[in-house]
Amino acid sequence: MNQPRFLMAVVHREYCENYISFFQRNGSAYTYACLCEGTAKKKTLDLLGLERRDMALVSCVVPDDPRPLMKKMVREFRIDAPNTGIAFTIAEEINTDSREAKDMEYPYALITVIAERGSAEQVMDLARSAGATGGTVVHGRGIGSTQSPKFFGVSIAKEKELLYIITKRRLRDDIVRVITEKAGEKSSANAVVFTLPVDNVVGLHDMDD
Amino acid sequence: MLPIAGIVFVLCFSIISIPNSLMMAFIIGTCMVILGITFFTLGTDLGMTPIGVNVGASITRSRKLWLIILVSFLVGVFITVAEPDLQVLAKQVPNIPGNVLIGAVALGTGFFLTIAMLRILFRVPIRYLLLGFYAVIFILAAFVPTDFLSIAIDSGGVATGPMVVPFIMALGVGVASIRTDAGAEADSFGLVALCTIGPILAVLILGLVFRTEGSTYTPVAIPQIELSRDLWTLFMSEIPVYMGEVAFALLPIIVFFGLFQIFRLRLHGRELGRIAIGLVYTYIGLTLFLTGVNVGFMPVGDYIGRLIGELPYNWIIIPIGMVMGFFIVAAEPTVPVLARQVVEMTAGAIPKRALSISLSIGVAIAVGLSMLRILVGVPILWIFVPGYILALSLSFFVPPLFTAIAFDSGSVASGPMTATFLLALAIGLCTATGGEVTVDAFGVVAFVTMTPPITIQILGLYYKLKTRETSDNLNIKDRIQSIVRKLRPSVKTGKRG
Repeated sequence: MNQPRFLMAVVHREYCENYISFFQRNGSAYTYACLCEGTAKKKTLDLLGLERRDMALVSCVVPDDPRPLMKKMVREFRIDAPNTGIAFTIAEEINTDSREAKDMEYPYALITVIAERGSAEQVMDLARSAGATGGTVVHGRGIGSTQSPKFFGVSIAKEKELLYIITKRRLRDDIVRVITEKAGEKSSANAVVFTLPVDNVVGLHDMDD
Repeated sequence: MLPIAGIVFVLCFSIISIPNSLMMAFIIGTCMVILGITFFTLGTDLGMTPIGVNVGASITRSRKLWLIILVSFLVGVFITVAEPDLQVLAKQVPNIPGNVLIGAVALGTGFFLTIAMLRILFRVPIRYLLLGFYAVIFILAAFVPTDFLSIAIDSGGVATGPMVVPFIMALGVGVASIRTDAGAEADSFGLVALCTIGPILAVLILGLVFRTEGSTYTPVAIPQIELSRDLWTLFMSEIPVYMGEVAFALLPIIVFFGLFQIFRLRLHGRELGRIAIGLVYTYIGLTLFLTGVNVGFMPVGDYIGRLIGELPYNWIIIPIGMVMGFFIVAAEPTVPVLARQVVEMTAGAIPKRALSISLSIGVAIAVGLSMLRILVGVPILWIFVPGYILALSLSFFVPPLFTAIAFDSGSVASGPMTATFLLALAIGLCTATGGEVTVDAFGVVAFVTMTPPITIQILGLYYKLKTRETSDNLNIKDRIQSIVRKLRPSVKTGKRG
């Protein structure tokens, strides 16, 4: 199985460049980085602005087996130490007929929520109530099926927030359910949720129960 | 911040001697400034920036031209009226009533903020606006008395102080954040640059109207401190003054945000809480900063300037000034705000380091030129006009993004630190060498506004040439398409399964 794999790493912003060059050095293609924020862990600290939340999302395509690369990443950056970051790859395609059975093998899942700007915190609170531990927010702009309205030749987009949550496979459905129920289509958050299976996770800590 | 303190220590321990009482005030001032900048930076991140971004995005989203014009104008006027630096400026121009001057400068800023916002909508390249308005400044400058000219040109950098800069920069980010077209990021800059022009024009026009005889300055008072308790009293008596000033400065922003929150924004609880706490931090930070700089730094700057000016080898102030200029940028409270915005809007494409080094070199050159001008007595226009001609010509060779960032940086760099410490240094030197303070010493702020646009655009030129050299540098669209192509086989398998 030597299919290219998609790897994502959420790291502290100041090390972003180091990760990019690390991935490039190790033969990964199409390395991209975008700025993101970690969601708050402690409400009071967050309110006082004392929690470090500036992160960067570095993603790349790994040509073959990502495991050696992940191991190297742990060695080089100690990404497995608490609060340094997290890296994972999107699991391979499922070719077997028994899709469900195969699906269960991946212990983790990536939940992606696309919601209106400003509602990521609310969605994260919901996800937390269903057992999620933390997430990453990327600011984005929506491009709909209809052309965005123009204003003197400047096109104006809807502001969106993308929330990535890595969670245990067994918590996945609960989290998705609570988000779609309480922050779904008709609410102010207008969230769209989808999940992807994830394998090769490093840097997860607070998830052990 | 620490390098500046270090330089002052080295100077005071080696070639000049200042009273120990001043030294103590300087040390306490340094601590206050460091604390102040920390709080201020945290506060702008948490409070001022979100307010600006939300207001900017909200008025653009409304797609109502009148609302954009109205809000930009009012924001410009009221924030500028409250700007602490402006009060100092008003006292330096004797023939023009203080309120008239403040009013004119505020109207000028409001007017130019409106122009800057409309420029974004109508997508007028910033270089044409800068070119046009600086040409008007040059023409007016020819008719204004020389002892008034320096202060007029300085007013641009002075009026864009620690309140105006973070808020207006964030406003630009807000406008850009909801646009999808190319160039949105580049357009988020340039607001501050255009807002710098307003005050200069306003003061120049006032100078013509009032036929003013010149400008004055209040000599820096050297505090008399003998006992440790006097030192304490000195700071404690000044803190309430700045507490009042900063409260007055924050008031319009709070009122604006309150109105917006009620009628348009409706932010949620925790976000609102963060903004409120951010404003508290901003308040504490700016109060500490201004007290520290005014009480601790200004007298020392003046003293050092005067003592070095009296030395037989007083040319030494040029290299010393340049080194100070190089490091002082980092002590301007609004520079981190700019650096952060550049990193966020360009997604790290312009490294923070390259930007801050160019900025530092720019300010170093500016201080060097100012000191040279004081020693030699060159008319300000001889440096000001060629400098801007160079900066504006460069804008035709570099990407518009760099031009906008560069001119913004100039206005950001000339913050309260320059307006107090560097100006005091210049005034001290000027007094010692027997120059005309209002003609020769003023102009420091203007130079600090002028040189970063040159150095940062040179950085832009370098980047442009470098990217042209690397042939395999595909643009982002091509890269994404090639990823999609490479990933497609696996997508197909997925469908089959």
